Amino acid sequence: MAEETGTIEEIQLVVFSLGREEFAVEVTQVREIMRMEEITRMPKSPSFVEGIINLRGQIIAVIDLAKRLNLDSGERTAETRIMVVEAEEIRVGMIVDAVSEVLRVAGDAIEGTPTVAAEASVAYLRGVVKQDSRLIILLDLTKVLSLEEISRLNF
Amino acid sequence: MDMDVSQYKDLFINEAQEHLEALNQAMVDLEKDPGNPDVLTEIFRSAHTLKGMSATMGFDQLTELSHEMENVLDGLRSGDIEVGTDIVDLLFSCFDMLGSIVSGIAHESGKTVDTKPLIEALRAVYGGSSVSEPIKTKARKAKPPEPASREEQAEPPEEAGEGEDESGAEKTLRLKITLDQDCVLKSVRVFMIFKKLSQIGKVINSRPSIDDLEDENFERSFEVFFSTSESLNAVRKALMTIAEVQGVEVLAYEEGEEEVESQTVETGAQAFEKAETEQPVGDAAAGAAPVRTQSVRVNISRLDNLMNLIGELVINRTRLQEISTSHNIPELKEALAQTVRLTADLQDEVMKTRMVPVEHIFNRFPRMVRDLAKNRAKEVDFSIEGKDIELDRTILDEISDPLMHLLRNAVDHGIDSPEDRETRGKPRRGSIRLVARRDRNYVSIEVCDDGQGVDAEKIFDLAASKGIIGREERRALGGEDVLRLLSTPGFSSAKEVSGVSGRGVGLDVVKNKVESLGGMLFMQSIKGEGTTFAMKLPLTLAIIQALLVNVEEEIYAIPLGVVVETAVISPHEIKSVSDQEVIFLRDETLPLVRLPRLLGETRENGHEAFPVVVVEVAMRNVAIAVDDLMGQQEIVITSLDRFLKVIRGFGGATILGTGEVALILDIPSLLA
Repeated sequence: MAEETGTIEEIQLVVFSLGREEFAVEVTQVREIMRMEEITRMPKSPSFVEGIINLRGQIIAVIDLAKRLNLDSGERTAETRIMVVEAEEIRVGMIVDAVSEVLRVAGDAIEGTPTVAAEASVAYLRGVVKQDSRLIILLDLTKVLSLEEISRLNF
Repeated sequence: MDMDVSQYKDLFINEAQEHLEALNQAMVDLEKDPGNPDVLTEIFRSAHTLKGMSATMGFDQLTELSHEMENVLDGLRSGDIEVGTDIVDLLFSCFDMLGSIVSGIAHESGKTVDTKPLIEALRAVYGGSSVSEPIKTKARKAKPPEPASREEQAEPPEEAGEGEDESGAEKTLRLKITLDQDCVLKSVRVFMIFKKLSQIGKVINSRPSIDDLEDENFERSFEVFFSTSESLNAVRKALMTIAEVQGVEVLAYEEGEEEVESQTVETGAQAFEKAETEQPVGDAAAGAAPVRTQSVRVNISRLDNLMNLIGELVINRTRLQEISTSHNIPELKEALAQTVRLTADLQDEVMKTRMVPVEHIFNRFPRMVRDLAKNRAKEVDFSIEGKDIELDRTILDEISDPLMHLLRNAVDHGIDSPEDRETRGKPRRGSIRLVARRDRNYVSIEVCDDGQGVDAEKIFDLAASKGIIGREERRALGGEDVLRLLSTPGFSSAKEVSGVSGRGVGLDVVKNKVESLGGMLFMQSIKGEGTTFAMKLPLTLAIIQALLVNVEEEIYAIPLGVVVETAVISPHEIKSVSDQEVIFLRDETLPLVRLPRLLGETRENGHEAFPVVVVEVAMRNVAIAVDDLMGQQEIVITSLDRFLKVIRGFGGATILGTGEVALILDIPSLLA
């Protein structure tokens, strides 16, 4: 990883869990976090697209993030949340098992792609954050929500 | 008076593009009628305005090119230069160059273009020396080339005497500045005027206030209280170099007493007060011109927001209506009836604000058709009818490309060559008409050519040879099948695809676009006599009548525009013809499509009777089986974002009275 020069910026991350792993996205990309609600099924869509919801008059897609990352889908519990994120003008709700905290880390605390993370999801990583004994995977939302890739999928 | 030019950039770009459009349009007219002085004056005026605007904004390339262009135009007007195809082509390429510079500015691309060859060509035409030093904006400000017409109207002779004051002494002037009647972006003009004034003196005050002036809260003229050491003539001249300034009048004139400047100001202020009482007279003089309709430019996104809000209001209203029905409260019902009426009116008004005359996109077609005809060695008279007809802005934007395609088709494949036409006893010049007309809740846009027409038999043969239709089917085809075949993806009857358009190439795209907007495409063609394509489009997009149906516990909306009828079918009524399920309805055999299956469900058929919705797609009726019919409702279309648009088959979504989301089915693309 390239050496950071100059002042090190602090970034804030929203940490959430999927299965046994912890993930994070930058707080600036999170629009809101809401409880599960009824989702209208979207036929003919990739399997990770759960459907669409009405977010105060705007229709947005909701995806099952676990499926998108090829992880096992967790049970829907009282902790399950829809995290509405925005990247490159695309606003999407992501179903996550639980949202735990907002974490403040120094920019240089983010390390490059590790070998330990779930291999299937390596393509969507921006880096990992090591905090005490925790390993938090920072997602690259642009890749998670990549239209090019989605339209390539045969569904 | 600190105003920043950059905040006017958008205004500038808008206006520059309008002027370029006007130039293109007028040039096409001029080519048809070379001697018409009105058209020339119009061209000159637009070019001059463009130059002035560009100079103020500091876009030197634009200024220089439009200046050189103006010289040629001047030659055309004086008759020194004759209007010929080469000149017209040259000017068109200037317009194109100006256009690309403007869009470069708009996108801040930083791309530079080389205007030199064009400038050389222009100079060669009017005989300007090509070695003369490049004209700089500043150099021209001193002695601007003034169009004759402007001088006539702008400098009334009786005022000439006023200018004989000594320059050098500081004095205070009250100026009345009048803008051209058709000045479009007055705030830009105001900015230019103040900028100019501040170069030669000091602006003390204005009436209306500078804020009001910037907001265009004035008619055509305003007053400026101004101190300067320049002569009156110099001031007037300086202001008259600004385009679209129609006149400058000195209303009051005070020789400045150097020692007490404040007193001068007071005098000036008194003069202002006095002017207040005089105003009606002054206005009456200025108001000789017809009063222009009051209008405001609004960003389209504001209108979209407004539309969305109304949409939510309609949804809420529906929700209230549902509550009132289930609780049966007479007072609520009464109040709701009012609300229903009000929201309908509101909806109507907002809808109207979104309507734009088709002229908006039609204006660029004459130039396109002319260029294309020239390129294809065809002779074409192009005419436009009904350019005042209005359509929703979004629909209009969407049909621009399809329309361009139809016009290209008409020039390329519709109109026959002049020689062929003569042998067939037709006039050498072909005609293409672009017609818009209002037909109740629809607008019909037609492209008619008097060319060779479509040879239906050839189309059928080609389709058969390509395996699109079977030999049996070939015999049963009639005229109404031509369009269906032509708009089969990939079908082309053009012997060689010209690179511009092949008849049929892309016609499927046109058709799909029109249908996705809730419209229909028709074609009528007589061999040897010509072809007409007609688009039938809804006036507005945002709110439509739809039939709600239920499939697998989910609600879907089918736009009522495609629905022919509904019926209930028993399983025993279903027949099978070569693996395709069909039903008989009123002596008609209809293919039966099961919506659950269409939507990717794999459920087995039930044994009970089920409802079908008969829809018309590609001029054929298809019966669509659903689980349940839920009735007809007015729905508000919310478009799907880029993420969801990847998934085909849906024209948007709508929020129902219950807050639930229902997808709107795009039947043509679902059945494609």
